Amino acid sequence: MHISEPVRSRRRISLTPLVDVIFLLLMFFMLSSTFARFADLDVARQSTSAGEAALPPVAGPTDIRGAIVSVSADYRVRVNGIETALDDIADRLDVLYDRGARTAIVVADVSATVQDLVSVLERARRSRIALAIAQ
Amino acid sequence: MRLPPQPSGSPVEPTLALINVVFLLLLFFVVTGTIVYQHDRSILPPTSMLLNPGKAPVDGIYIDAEGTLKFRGEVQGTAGIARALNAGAESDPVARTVQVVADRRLRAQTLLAIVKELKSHGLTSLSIVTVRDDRP
Repeated sequence: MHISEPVRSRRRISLTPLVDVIFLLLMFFMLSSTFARFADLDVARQSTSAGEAALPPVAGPTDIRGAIVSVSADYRVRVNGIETALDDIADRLDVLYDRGARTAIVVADVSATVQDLVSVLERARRSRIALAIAQ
Repeated sequence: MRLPPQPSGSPVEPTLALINVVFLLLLFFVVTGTIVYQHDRSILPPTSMLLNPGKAPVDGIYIDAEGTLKFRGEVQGTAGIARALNAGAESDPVARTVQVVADRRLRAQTLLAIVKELKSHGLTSLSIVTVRDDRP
């Protein structure tokens, strides 16, 4: 009995379906992905950190107990009643820290938007003072 | 005079090179992109410049400029959202931070009132999602 040898196909593998699939995947990821870079700002943790029991003893004159940062519309900020530029908030709070203040309470007034609040908070976080958000 | 025979067969198309390039593009998008999950396009998160980059919002609480809360695509109250999140937290004991995506035009007092309500319902770890703006 004679068994014929299997016919060996010499055809090359077709690459077109592969390219199709890869191209569809490419389209999917291009359309569904975003390149916006997100960042998180903690709000709950800061507002509970106003505990006064844990405050370290202050050396030197303590003429200021705390700071109040009030936020209004268009990034208008007042630190303890003094109008402060947005980029000077951290420096201003550090001055108050050196004079004995340990906690700054951030108060948003009626006109302030979320953008105002976030801009102020992210700058005030650079200061050594502990932040609390009035709610 | 005898000419050398012409090489037979069709010229090889640059298919492999094409696939290489497309494949590299695919890898690029897979690695660098983040798939948007139920992102409400009408909500513009506030911009920030100084915060460390974090993750894109996943399963976040969305608040539009009028103060309407949306969670998992549905308008819900704070109690319902807290119930849904706390139910998931029981099966997953690792406490995770809940991300709040608030519109930048929302009144800050409204946001703080909502945050306070959420906290009173047991969601103690909350963060506001911002979009980093690197423009000088």
